[in-house]
Amino acid sequence: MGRPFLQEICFPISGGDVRSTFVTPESTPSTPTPAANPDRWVDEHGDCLYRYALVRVRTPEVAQDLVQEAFLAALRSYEKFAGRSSERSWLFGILKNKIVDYYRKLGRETSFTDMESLSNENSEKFVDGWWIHVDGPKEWKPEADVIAHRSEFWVTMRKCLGKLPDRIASVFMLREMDELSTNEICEMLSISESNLGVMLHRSRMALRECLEINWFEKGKK
Amino acid sequence: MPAETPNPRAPDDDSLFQGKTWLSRKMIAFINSWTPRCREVTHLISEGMDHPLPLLTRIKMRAHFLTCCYCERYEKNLRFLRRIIRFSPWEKHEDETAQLPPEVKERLKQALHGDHGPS
Repeated sequence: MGRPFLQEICFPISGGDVRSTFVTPESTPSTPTPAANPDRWVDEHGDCLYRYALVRVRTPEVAQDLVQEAFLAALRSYEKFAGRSSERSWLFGILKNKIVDYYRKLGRETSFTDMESLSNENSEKFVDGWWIHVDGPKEWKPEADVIAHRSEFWVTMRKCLGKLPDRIASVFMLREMDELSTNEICEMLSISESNLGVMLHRSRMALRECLEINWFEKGKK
Repeated sequence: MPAETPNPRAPDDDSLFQGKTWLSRKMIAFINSWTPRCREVTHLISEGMDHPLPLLTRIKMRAHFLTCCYCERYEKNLRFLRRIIRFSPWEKHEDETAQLPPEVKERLKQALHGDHGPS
């Protein structure tokens, strides 16, 4: 399934999906290219790259560091840039790999404390394995197109994502926003399928509830 | 839902079988003995979004939904979230007001000029 809106101002991937850029960030070397202009990169692509990183790593300082690392890596490997894709796509590819490296590092360093607390939180919704009826999921009557175009909805979405523990949020974003397969995510983050399944389940449950409380049910009260 | 567990149905419960009649209670008891409980069903719903589930599991989930509108809503909610996340413009995910502060841009430029690039 491809993203229908990739050709946007800030994310011009041309002729390929996100997956391919994750795997091969740098274009195959061949033809000589003009000299790199790092000042222009920062001015023209800096904000877009920063926003892309920020929504994934959620900490401005970390996002800034990742953008810097991506620019430095791009500068070092500029001779390999064949110009087959746009300069921005190429830079995005490098940034994505930096983000994946960050996720990997996060996976090695994050304790499971956050995940356990999330699990306990979720267990309060059930009694004896059944939903507590009065606290069960509500019927959303959404008009998807309308909602998806309201910027306030996405502010709420980002806030809800921000409440998830880092590791859980990262797998959710890789799966749902970047549409990677579970195999790809497991390989990328060196985690087992069952571990990934648990993390995705917890992220979906927590995000669903957060949006229900803060968006879908908010107007009704 | 086991009759002995005090778990009153919410006013908005629109499950097919709500236990209001003898037949409905019997159907609920039968379905509940044959299908997984809600906690496991939520796991299966999530799993089903990543892998195809076995046919029998899918049948059991559908049967469970006849007595539990909450699990059915849970699945609808998750599918809706996936749809709007995947089919909305990319920028919607991002904070369009977020920009690199000028001092950070300056720092980046200095770092890039200090690095051993080809230019």
